[in-house]
Amino acid sequence: MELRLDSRQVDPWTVLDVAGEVDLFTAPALRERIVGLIGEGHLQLLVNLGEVGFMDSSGLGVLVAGLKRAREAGGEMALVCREGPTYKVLAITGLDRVFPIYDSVDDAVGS
Amino acid sequence: MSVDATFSLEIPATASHVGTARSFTSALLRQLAAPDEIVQDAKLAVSEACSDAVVALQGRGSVRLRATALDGRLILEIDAPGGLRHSGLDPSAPGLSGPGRLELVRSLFADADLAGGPGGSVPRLRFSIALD
Repeated sequence: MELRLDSRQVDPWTVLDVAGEVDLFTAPALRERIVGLIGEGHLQLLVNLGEVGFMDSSGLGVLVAGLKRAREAGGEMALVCREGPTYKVLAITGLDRVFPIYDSVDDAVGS
Repeated sequence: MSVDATFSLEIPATASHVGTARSFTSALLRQLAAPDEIVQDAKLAVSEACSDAVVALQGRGSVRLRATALDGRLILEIDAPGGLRHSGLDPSAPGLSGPGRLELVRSLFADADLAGGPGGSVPRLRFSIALD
């Protein structure tokens, strides 16, 4: 199973593009990348889940920890996620009300 | 595919094999012509259950997934064969705690339940899916 993580700057956001499946096996890599970006001072972090085919609560745990870390550092973490299985897991755990969620990177930039 | 059949998969209790359990679940449900939403829900439930078992077993032994098609339903059971003892959840593991994962599965499949493992062994999670 492969998880692809690529970051880019789309002001005011640092966008982390996530592609693949996020589960118990791959979540540590996502956590490491988020922690690294925040540690490098990328405090406006937009995690793009648009190419995530599957995510379970292992991924949610990483996202929540990242949000907490970003806010403690004075920043913000938002998500890009459309309707679908990934959005559903956010919704059934109530996290759709915790994260700012956008339909696209363009929407987040324009907000 | 005929109904009233049982399928099983046993994976090493490691994080890298949780995806194998999801693939097995997905392939089976698609062959049974289950709607895509049901397939996605079942993958999530199986992933949560297997992850919980893997974390509890801390890499020892194996996790078993058994699927039984019976009377228009698919009954899924996830357990640890051999009655391995629960090692205690690893607090550094990503994701929900064991009870949290069960609640997530219950929100998808209302009949999801834990059958207590004997003598402190890893419990069995069981839930069913309507195929009609």
